[in-house]
Amino acid sequence: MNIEEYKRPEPRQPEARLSEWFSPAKRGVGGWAFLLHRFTGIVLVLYLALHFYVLSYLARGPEAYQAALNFLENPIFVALEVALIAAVIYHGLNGLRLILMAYNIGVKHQKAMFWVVFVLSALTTLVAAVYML
Amino acid sequence: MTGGKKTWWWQALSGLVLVFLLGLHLFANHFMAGGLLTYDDVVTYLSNPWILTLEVLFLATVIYHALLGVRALMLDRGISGQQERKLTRVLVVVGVVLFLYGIWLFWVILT
Repeated sequence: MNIEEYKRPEPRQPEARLSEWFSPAKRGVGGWAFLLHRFTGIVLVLYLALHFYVLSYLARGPEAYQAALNFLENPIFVALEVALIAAVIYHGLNGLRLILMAYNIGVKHQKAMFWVVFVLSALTTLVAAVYML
Repeated sequence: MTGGKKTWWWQALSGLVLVFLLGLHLFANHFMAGGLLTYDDVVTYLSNPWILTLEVLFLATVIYHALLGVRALMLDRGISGQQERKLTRVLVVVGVVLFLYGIWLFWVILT
């Protein structure tokens, strides 16, 4: 082939398509760790927005705030809070794992570290669920 | 250090700070003196200057970390340099508005 004709392929934009973000195809343990980190991050940003909204009831006085708290005692919200705890714990622990890897600490054991993060997150969530439900 | 690396470092640092601040926030909210179950509990809680300082720091850090995360997500979708600058400006405005909202809320509760 004439060298003039050869075009270097465009560098692939990582996860450029939304559908690729959550695609389980061709993912190793690190890929799953990334996927979960991203997913829990999105969940936490949405929760933060909701948290700011719920706290706005504090500005409307004690009765309004108490009414909001009573509404949130619904078992559906309690179950969602347990899921929130899972997201917080995983995102935090995996974040620590990412920092360690960025400083070349434990890169060889990154898969094992993911499983440690995963199991610790699951256990903490279980304890929180037993305590809350 | 390139722009992207610097941003990553700030994201990591704010994340590390959040591990401690969120831990303290959750502990103080749910376990100190039986948890914050009423409006009056919240007022008493925030009247402690140490707690208030912690909560203001937490507010700033969590907004910063969350918006940097949103920015990283958008950059991964592959946007142009011009769009990136626009996005950053929008996120800075959102961040400042949210922080001021939080401070206003503290002020309303305490006065």
